[in-house]
Amino acid sequence: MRRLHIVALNKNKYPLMKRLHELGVVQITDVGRTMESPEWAQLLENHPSDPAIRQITTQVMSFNKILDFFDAVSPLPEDNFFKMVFSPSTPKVIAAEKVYGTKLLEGADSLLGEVNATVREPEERLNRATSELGELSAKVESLEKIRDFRVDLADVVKTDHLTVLIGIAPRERAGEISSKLLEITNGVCHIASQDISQTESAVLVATLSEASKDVSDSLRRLGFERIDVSGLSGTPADALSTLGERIASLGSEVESLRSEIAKLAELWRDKLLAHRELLLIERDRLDVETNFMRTGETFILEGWIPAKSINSVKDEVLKVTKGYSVVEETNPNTAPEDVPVHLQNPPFIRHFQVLTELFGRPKYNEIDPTFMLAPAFMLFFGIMLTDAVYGVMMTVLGLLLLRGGGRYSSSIKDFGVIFTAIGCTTIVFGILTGGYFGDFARAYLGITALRPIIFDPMVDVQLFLVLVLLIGLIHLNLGLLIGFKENVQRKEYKDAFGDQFWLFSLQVGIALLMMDMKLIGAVLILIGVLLVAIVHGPLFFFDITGYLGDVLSYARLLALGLATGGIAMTVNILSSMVKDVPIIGIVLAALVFVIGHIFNWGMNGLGGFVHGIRLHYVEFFNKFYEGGGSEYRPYSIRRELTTE
Amino acid sequence: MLDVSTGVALAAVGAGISMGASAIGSGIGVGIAGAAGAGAIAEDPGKFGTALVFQALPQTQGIYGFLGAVLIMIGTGILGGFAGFESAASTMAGLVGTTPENAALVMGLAAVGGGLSVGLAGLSAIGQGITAAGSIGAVSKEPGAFGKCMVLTVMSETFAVFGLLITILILVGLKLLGA
Repeated sequence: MRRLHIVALNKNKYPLMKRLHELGVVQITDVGRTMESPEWAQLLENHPSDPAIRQITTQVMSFNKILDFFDAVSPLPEDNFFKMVFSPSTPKVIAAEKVYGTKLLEGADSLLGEVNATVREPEERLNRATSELGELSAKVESLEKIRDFRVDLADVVKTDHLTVLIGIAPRERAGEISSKLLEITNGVCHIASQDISQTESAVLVATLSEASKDVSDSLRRLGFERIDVSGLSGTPADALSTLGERIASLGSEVESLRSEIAKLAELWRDKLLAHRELLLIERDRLDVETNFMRTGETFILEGWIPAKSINSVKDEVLKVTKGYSVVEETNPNTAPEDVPVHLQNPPFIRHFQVLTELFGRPKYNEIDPTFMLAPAFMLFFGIMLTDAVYGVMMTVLGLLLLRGGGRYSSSIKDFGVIFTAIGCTTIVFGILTGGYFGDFARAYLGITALRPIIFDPMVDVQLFLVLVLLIGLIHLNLGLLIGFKENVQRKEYKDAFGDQFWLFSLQVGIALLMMDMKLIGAVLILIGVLLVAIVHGPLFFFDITGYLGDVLSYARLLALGLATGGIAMTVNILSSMVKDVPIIGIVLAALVFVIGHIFNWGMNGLGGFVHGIRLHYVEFFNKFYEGGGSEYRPYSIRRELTTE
Repeated sequence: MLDVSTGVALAAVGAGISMGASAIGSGIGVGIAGAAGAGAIAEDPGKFGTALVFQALPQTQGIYGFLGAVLIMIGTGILGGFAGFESAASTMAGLVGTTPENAALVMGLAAVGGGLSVGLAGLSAIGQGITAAGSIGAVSKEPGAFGKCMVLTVMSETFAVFGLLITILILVGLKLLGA
């Protein structure tokens, strides 16, 4: 990664930024943040943001509004989770014109005008029809209650002298209402009521308009709910049938409007989506300018660029600016935390990067441990699942992911590759240790050819334990070696001896001691202990016990490996026990067998995965790896839908 | 007729402790994680997957306890009932050159020791459940912390793994398994 500095003329800025955006290799950083000397600060001013950005934002919002309306009326079909993972539909690609700059903005405006001209009118009609439908249904609901009330709704009027109200009141209050109203109107009032249900009565009140305010107030206090019947005539039942006709005609109008709008959506949606993406790209292109500094006629930009792309970018910049520019590169001299890291791993290993990044991206001057993690993770998982059939299930899952969602999503592809790879190592370990649904192949099917090839984990437990601890020792020492090399390269000799070398000395010493070379062994052990005691001070004792704990931690490979086999065996036993149940025995046995093994595969697959990761993060990375680097995010065009 | 009933009783106790104690651990641990998961789901139903993965982690102790119990039952032969134990005891007696009564006693005590190891180690699931609960909250807020929280949560399980390991070593060392 190198630091890139470009000074160019303001008039060449747009074409230059467009070219860099297309090249997509420079990560642009804020110049102002790194300008420290006051001389520069006097010479340069902050680059203002382009006024077009505001215009683009407004346009994008208008596009979103129309697209949201289209989606609400005729939603696009969407894949559910399983379909997305295993058999996603082909993502849509829209061919877009090569427009940019003012032409794009003008194009967006005219497109907006055109779409609005055709969409606005049906949209308004739809809104009107829907809101009227809402009102009518509310009216129908309350009219339903007084359906059998004998009244002509045309008589429910409010004139200068007469006010007629109709509504519903609690049944037990009907008497109270009539006595109260007669009292406040001095008898100038007509009240008719009819019970309509167990709890409610329909009430009609006719009174003088001058008393109507007092009447409504007392009615409200007595629990009377008024029903608005303005514009209706005939009995409530007649009115209901009229309303029903109106609702039906409105419903068919809404339907036809929706299908009209769906047609418009089909016509315009792609164009709008493509244009919106172009606008967003244009906004990205302009947004970056706030990172620059400028003088009257020139501007300066800075950024990170991978070393291999430097020459091509230099040539391009000079070409676009016709030579009126200065392009310089320097080595990163700031703290390595600031330098973005571009990971480059070989094709297969690359997919395991996701596991490294879960812990932390390597720092700029740090080794990328993925090339070590990939094979070791595969090995560990294989040992922990140790069952050929479970391995096949894992591989099939991985291949399904690759064939399905892996075609379009890089993270699904990563996991597809990882699952396939760890599935394959599981098959190998399953065959070596004779695990096929646990002991199913041997004990129940009697296929002796499927016996363990190297050893049976359930029988030779000690051998298995020694093997996994040996694997742990080798794994840890590889980590120590890398750490030692890294520390020596960085000339941090104290760490190299105090963190790594003492363990080599100690381990070789112990080995020699056990091989009866007591003197050399003891001396080496002493050297190792002294080294760590000098570098780490009085707490060095915990470094020794800590390392012992690290080695013992690999025993989990054995425990989980046995757990898979043991639970598989238990499932088989349970299944053969229920087989003897009369009539449904065989079905029950098959059910126990299938569910039990899928459960065991899932739980121990999850266990193998997290413990495989853990052995790396806690035991292995601890020896040499810190992580915490920042991601390389080049200034590049993000296209999801469009192609040029 | 051999008098091996003490041995059978002890073997049954061992298997019982193995499953029972670790079930307490897993049950409490899963419960703690589940409560946090329910909280996270209340705010965002999309967090169900995350919550489920973290809630599954304290279950492993229960599985280890189950495995330990089954291994004890296979090793002492009580999976085949009283007769199974009797024949295992006489095999063992022949193997180490002692009376079947002594062998039965050794087998029974080995089963109790093994059961205690994996069973009590299974209580580590309570701690794991607490970490899992915290992790569900953390990952709901910051999905990028998934991997790190996973590692923090798996830490407690180390002791359960060692507990299972010692159970297996006791059973193998005293020739209940693998001979």
